[in-house]
Amino acid sequence: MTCSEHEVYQAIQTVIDPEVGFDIVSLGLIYGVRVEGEDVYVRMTLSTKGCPLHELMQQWTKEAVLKLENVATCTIELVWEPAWNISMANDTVKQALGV
Amino acid sequence: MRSLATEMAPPFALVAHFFIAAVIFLLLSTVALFEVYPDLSGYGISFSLASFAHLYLLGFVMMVIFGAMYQLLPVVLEIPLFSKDFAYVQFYAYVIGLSMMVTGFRYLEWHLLIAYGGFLTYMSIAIFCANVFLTFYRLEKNSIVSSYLLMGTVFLAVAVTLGILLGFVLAHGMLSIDIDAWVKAHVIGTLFGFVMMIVMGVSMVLIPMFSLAHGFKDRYIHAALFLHGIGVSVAILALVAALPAVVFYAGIGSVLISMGLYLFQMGIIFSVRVRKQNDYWVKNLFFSFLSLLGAMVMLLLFFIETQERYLFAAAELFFFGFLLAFIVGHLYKILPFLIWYKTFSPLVGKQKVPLLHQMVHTKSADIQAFLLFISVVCLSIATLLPLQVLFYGASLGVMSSVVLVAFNVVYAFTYKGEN
Repeated sequence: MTCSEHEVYQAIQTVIDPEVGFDIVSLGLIYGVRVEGEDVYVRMTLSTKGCPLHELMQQWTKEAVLKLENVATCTIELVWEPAWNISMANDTVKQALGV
Repeated sequence: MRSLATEMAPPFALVAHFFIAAVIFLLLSTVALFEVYPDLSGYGISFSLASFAHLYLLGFVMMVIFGAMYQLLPVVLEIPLFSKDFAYVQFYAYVIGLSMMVTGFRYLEWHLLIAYGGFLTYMSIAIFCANVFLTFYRLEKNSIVSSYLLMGTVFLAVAVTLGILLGFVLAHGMLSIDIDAWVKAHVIGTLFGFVMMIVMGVSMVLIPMFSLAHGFKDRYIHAALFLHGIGVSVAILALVAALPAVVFYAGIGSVLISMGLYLFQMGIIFSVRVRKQNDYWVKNLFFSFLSLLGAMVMLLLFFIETQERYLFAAAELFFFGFLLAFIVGHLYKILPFLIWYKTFSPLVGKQKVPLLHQMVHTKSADIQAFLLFISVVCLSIATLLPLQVLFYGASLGVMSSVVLVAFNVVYAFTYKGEN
């Protein structure tokens, strides 16, 4: 039995950006999730290239996914295209930021 | 996967060394500020003024920049710092050298300390420059930010070389130079060449990052890089080589235009920012940019009217209005991050960890910002009119504001979280 993409998203939702205070799924930083058996692939970005949490964000995402049952590996693909912008965040984040 | 934050960046303790020392020197400089007033109506370059200027500029501003550069270089350039050991050696040599130099300025019977302390400071800055240049040597892809950081460091090397030569001329009378012109070249190279270029460069990283601004045009900061580099070079050359005054003014004019372009670029970034809340960071930044504009106007008035009170008002607006507000605003962002990274990031996923803004005592940060704004305005008015009582009152205000900054630094360092 494999986990669903929804479960992976829920797991990643526990990762909070400590600067803005929102989880990275709500911020729209997760571009895609693919589950192949026990292997999970996450395509993600960061709000800025100069983010000093560059490495940690990926590590936390990986750790959150690996906590799921039936997940053996998690591969993170960090991409900069398309570049993140606020329209990618959900309504809760936009409302909180006053967009 | 490249491990920027963990493997390439220097240890937290190194950056903390620079930031803590910077706040201590800042506190000392506010004490030295009380001694400056008698000089404001006399000759522009005095020893008490030099004592204050070195405590503030080298002790606080440049100390923060060194620490921030060590932290930011690996992140911005995506290459590791050439040597962390060099950075530690630089720190201790810098603190000792600067302390000796300021003592020499403050107590004239020990004036030889200016030269020897200055030499030690010079060597420590040379280590910093070498470390930065060797880091840049590995750089594969250039960017607007890396260009600013590199050019700023080149100007630093030039400015401190002028400074050390001045130190030896003052101590031993060697070399026949126009001391006044060389002091001006030294100040322009340090303030506009190094400090201003680094601030302009890091602004292009920090301000979009903290304000969540994206998709803006950056052509103005590109134009500013060219004009600023040319302007500072021309101004220094005109002073050192005793070229006609018009050449010097052309250089300064170019620098002023570039700073105007920088402000315009900042306005563009702020106009597209996503984070709309006007917290202590935004308040400090707005005030710092307004102060820079004010300082530029005062500098223009000085060149037109040739009255030194305009120059001193420009310096106060630049030092306390622009630089202090800019640095303190970012200190409230960067310091909690560094402490959070060291203390709380290993606990992510295991227990509840604080958000960065919780590590800043918001109320005292707001009071500090308000106090600084009022004090800087009063300081400038007191210098322009001049009003001695207002000057001392405003100096006390600046000092109180800085004490609140120190309080918030201690608050962030000792923050234990809610649990």
